[in-house]
Amino acid sequence: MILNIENDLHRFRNIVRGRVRRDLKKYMGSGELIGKQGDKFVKIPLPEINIPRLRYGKNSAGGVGQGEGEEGDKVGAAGQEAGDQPGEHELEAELTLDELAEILAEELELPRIEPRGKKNITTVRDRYTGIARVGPKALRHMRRTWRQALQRQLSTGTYDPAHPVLVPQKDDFRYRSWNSKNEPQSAAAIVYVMDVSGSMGKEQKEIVRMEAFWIDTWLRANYKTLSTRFVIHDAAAREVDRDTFFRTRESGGTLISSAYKVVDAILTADYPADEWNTYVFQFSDGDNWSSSDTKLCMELLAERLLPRVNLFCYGQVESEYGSGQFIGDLRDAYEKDERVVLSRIADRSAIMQSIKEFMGKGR
Amino acid sequence: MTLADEFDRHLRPGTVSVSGGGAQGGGASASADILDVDRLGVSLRGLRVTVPGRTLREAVGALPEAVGRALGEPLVVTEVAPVLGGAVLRSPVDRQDREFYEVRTDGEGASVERWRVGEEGRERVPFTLTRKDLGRVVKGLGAGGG
Repeated sequence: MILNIENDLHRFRNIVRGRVRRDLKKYMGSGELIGKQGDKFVKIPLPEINIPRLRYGKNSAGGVGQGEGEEGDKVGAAGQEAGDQPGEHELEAELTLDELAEILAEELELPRIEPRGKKNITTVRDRYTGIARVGPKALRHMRRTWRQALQRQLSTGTYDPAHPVLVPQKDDFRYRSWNSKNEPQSAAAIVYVMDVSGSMGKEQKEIVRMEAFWIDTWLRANYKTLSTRFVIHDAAAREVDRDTFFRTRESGGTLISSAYKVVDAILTADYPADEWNTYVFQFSDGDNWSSSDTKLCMELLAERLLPRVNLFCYGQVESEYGSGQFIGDLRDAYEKDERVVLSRIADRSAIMQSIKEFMGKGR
Repeated sequence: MTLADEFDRHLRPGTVSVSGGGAQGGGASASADILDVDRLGVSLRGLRVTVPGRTLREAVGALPEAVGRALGEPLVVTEVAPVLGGAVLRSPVDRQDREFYEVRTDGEGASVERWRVGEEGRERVPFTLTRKDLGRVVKGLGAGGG
């Protein structure tokens, strides 16, 4: 019976995975999963199929239009209080972020990332590799215990091969014990940069939010330690928290160089290039204020940012006014540079392709 | 004679720059890249009017009404950047030809251009106005100035 349940559970999980895989593009474009993300799990909403059932009702109930009300009466009783019973819930299945990243990788054919720096980043991990003479019953190491009992009986001459009975005594018991070990870890830092100037509308921000979620999911699956920082800018840039990043809308003009200066300061202060795998994801509509600022951006990129990063990804999100010139300027300057990836995001349906472009290099 | 009148007098294909406009011109000047001119209308690629002494607040306050009416499309302030001393105003994108006007103002003046939204980005396109409306646009771009 248990076997059947396990089979069913396995089958159910496969259905969920298949469904997520099939509808990945839809999920990527709807932002449906973003609000349902925990630390390790994502809740996937699944449509519930209500199987029709026959129900016995009261024969005296009459029919449509046969109730007690008079013509012109308002529908619904006035003064009703809020209900205290639970409502119907959408069926949700849980997937781990790793599973989601795996599906993402399979569907987009993303290569695994080859981490660059891991020099000084270490984490202490406890592993049950040791043996102790004391410990809780739950950690009793049976094989070592029996072996100890055998050794003792052999050495004291109480072991009879013709009648092999081992009786462990208190001193024979062995327990698993942990050893703490410093392990080098691949660590990654992502800096998200978003243009929040007046020309970036609500829809453009929503696209950035969804794309950032999937990028985060993928990079979390590849790095044990992931540090995420957020920078917003219009004519001036500043570092903000995640919530502010996705909610802020300003009306100022666009000076992209201001953001590059803040990113440079963050990388310099906290993420040395030989220790961290650093990613910068910038999103803008590409309407930089002036060509002189674009020139300054190119200088900052070449001298300050690109030498330190694994990848510099620039996503140009289109608005109703189309797409600005900045992506063209970047293309002219860095078309052959492997560290720079450019992507045009026309609308929500382009998010999937954009992530493929960004992460497809395996850097 | 106003700057608009003076500008109209000098209209011809090519780059046209007119400054002054007499006592009423207030030291303003106008320049445009004219493609074609006839008795009634003008086809041009862009127009810029410099207005000395106008603040950003004055420009943003005056431009939507004065220029939007002359262009025949409402202008909305898209970006205002006091740090940069400028602002960007745009008209709604026309559904048919996917074009819109963009008016930029900075510390020295204001300019108007027309853009077409294409698959591969945005391209600047010529636009056509009657000579009368062009005069209004020149006047509008200089509106709010000293």
